[in-house]
Amino acid sequence: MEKAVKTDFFSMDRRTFLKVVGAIGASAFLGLHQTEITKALELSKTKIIWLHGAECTGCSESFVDASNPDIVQALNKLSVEIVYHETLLAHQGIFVDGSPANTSELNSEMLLDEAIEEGGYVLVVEGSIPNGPEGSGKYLMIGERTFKEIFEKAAKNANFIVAVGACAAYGGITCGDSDIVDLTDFRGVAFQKEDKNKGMLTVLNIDKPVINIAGCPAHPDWVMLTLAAAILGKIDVNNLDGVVDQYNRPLVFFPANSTMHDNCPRRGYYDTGRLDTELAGPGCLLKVGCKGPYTRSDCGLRKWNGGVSMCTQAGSPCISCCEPGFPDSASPFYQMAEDQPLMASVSAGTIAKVGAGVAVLGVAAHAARRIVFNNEDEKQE
Amino acid sequence: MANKGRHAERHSFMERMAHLTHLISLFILLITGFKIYFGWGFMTYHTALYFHMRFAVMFIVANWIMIPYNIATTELPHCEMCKTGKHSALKHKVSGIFNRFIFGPADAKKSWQIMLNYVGKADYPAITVYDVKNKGYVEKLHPATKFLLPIEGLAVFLIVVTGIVIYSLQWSILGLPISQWLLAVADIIAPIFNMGGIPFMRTIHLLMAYFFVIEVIIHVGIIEFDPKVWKYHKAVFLTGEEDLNDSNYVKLINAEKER
Repeated sequence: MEKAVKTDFFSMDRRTFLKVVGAIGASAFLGLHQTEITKALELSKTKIIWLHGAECTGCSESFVDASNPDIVQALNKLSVEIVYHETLLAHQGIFVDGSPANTSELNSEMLLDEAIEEGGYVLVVEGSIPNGPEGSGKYLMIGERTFKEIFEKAAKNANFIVAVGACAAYGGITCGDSDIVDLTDFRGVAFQKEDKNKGMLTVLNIDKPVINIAGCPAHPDWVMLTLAAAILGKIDVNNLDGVVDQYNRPLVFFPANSTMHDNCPRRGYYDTGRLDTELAGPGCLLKVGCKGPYTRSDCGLRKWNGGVSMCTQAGSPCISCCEPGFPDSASPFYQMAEDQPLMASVSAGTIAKVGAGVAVLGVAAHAARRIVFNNEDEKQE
Repeated sequence: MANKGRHAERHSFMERMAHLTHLISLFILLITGFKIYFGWGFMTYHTALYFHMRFAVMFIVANWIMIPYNIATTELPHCEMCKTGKHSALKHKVSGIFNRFIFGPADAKKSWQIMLNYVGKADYPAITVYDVKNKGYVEKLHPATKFLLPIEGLAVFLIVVTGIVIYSLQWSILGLPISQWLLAVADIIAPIFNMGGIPFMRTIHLLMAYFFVIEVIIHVGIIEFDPKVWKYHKAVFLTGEEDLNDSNYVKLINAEKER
């Protein structure tokens, strides 16, 4: 009976909550406590504003594909009100002479403004925020406004912010190395790649708690559980010590003490030294560029598509999409990290080969000379 | 410092032990490490890891305990001025150690002489210098060894700290989160190389392993291809003694006084 009380969703303390979620996985947790969470969320009446920046909507698609509870359950049963979500909204902005027209019933631009004015919502950001050109943010216009401006307004009035996906969290693909990367100047909400001083919040001088749900896309469990935990007060968003890592990722999903590789379904092949050198084999994918050993995520335990499969299980090397340096830090995707060029296109292996070659030549020359001298000495004697 | 006839102890017992410990642990670490990295099939990952971790401890003991102890206690030629207090014995000891283990101008000169020797323009310089009157070595090491020593020290440091992170992302001692600190440093440096902290640590670990392979090639190669290799083997593994009569290898100073 004691145990039953302790595992009750409502009486669970933060530590137990996180432990249980980590141990059994979000899907199982949500499955076990679906009714309670639904009830709790019904009581909470929390509003969510979900903004889309520079992104592919993959994270929304991932979220929509969630199961147990799925998105339909989430929208129909949970009274967490998604006030604004561009992909899911039925209507869009109506402009007359460059100004939003009509009312918020028919004009989502006005709906968004009204929701922001009311405040007291959770801001979910999907996609990065362009700061370019020259800090204007004009590389992403929604209606007549820059996304940077919309984000600024929404961020100021939000209770806290959840950055969903690699782009919103760290810039992701939009921050990938290119000729125009400085010009477009995409930023994550609180980070730009690994740099926490270059997030858009810093640019705008806004101080708000941010939780980063990494991934390309973000796992629906990660998003759902984080929102549920934060809204229900299972985690204190104003004191995230011990809940998130240095990149603001929830430790329960992105553990600091292990990597994806530790729980990879192909791990047994690594242990027995069966490392594939070509794709489509059954072995460990390390040599074909798998970044599992460098990636902090629970993909190997949680898996994707309703817990059925995951990247490496389906034959694709892990591309380390949960790490803040993604995609540059994981590129080329099909090359082992240790084989990547360190400087001037020279890899560790090449340095070793050249070094060993020079050493062997030097030693051979030294040896030849010593042997010749020895023979000459013997002749003289 | 024993001087039995024309022999002198070049390598003390502790120096020989440190050398042997370093040698054994390094070979096991390289073999098991490359097995883990390349996936060689001659042993399982777990067996390789088991040996790798145990010999890593042995490697640390050799490099961070035995060798520093040997350096600090290395015997220098007797000095009358130290005995009489005419100059600081500590200062004399420190400068003696510095000269013995750090590559200096005299070593650069020797290196140049070795290069000239390749083209037949000079004699091969004596590697060691023995002070007969004061019964002690002034120089013990080949200039190439002295050149490699600080680099090797750095390599040992790097391979150990990166190894800690690879071993456990959460390794701590006395409550100090060492791995986390190391990763925090790596996370600052790694983006310069377009890498994350963990792959950066693994790459450095691999690079240092390659360094030790190259170092072994140089160190062992220079010695093993020498016509008088047995002398070295005997000295460094068994007796520790060097033949002072062999003028090709040892230069005697203050010898007149002895006679």
